[in-house]
Amino acid sequence: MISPRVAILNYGIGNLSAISQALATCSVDSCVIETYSQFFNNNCTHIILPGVGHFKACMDAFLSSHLYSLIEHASDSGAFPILGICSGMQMLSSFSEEGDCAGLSLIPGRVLSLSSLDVPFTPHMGWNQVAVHSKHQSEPFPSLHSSYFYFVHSFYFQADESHVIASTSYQATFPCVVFKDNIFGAQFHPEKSHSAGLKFLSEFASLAC
Amino acid sequence: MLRPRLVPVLLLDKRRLINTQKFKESRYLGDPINAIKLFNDLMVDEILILDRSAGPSNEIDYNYLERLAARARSPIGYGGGVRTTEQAVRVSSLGFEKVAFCTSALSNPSVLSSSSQILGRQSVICCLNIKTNPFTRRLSTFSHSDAAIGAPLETTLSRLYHEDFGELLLYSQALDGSRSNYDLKLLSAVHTNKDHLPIITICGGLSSSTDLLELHRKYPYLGFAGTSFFVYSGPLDAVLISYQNPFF
Repeated sequence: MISPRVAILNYGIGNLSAISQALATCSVDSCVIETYSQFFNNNCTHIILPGVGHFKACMDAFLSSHLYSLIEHASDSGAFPILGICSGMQMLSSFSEEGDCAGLSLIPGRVLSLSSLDVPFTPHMGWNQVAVHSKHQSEPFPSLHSSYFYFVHSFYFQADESHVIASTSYQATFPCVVFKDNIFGAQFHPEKSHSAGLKFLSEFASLAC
Repeated sequence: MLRPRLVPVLLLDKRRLINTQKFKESRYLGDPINAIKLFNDLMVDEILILDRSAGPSNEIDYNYLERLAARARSPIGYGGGVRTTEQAVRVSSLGFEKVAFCTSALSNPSVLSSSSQILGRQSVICCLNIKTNPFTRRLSTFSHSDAAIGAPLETTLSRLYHEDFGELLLYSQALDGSRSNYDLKLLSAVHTNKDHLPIITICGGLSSSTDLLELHRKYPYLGFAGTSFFVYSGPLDAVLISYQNPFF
């Protein structure tokens, strides 16, 4: 069995160090990569797309990097699991209201403002639980059950039920873990969510490649 | 269900962890990096670093901030000397989830919105230092580094209504270090116009779990921050890092 090595994509945005250290805590090997060839030269098996901040700023930076072809290849081939975190998750959508900007269109859905829902305040900030949808109770992320994760976001990923693994409630309910085939997105920050987040990252690294 | 946030605020002065009473009388507590490590082990909700030595005459200590962020396993924010969007972006790139504007929030509030355009509003904190007139009991905002800046609280808040940012941190000078409970008058005054405001976090006076639970019932989405509560123990205020979260 091949040991996982997670490629953390460096396109100039995201807390790469925190993700790398969280993976190391789980005894998962990782490396920061900036090009398509680095992914294969380092024998990487999984991809994390980090993201912090404004959607358009993230998309502009990503499309200016040399990493889009890697994501495209991983998506088309289905060979490498991909995890988008926070703004990285939102980038997997087709469109975001934050900047009226197109996303990577890898998971069907749009990113809309939380203020369009009946939420008490925006942003959604702090530690919240997630509710795993019935079809995904035992896989791929058992760590989601009864655990608190750290959220800090002002927009949410509106996806069809068939692409939602888990939702969270903040007066209104909205998706927080989405997927399509080998591509996953988490709205919370697993690298900053203590033991629950570490388990989640470990489970991602254990997905077959 | 969203759990209320309980946030240790670490006050820095030239890379030293300090504690203050009414923003004065600083006492040396130890090494900030070690404190962060201890708070990691205690699995705190968030940490906020406020550097009092960073200001108009002292540049932000980026090298040191990078070391602090690298140590943090919890979400971490920073404030102190941040005056421009470019500085905020640079601080964020070091690994801070949130960046706080203090003096600039008063002198140039539009920097909040311009920073939100790049960092996302959830990453931008407006930090207001609050003082209470001992005679009239009126609340006003002020700056540590610019005595000319300041205004009645209502005036400051009405200016901020037009800006886009994710969190408003209210830091009471009168109750700083007191552990006598938060400024209830301040909370009431701000919540009168809460429809215009984002997430509110209160600091200064954090006293006990009982008071926290009571305030949470009244203000269900309020964030709670503190300094002395997390670093002192016992009748002689021995230095001891602790974190007892009644919301767990």
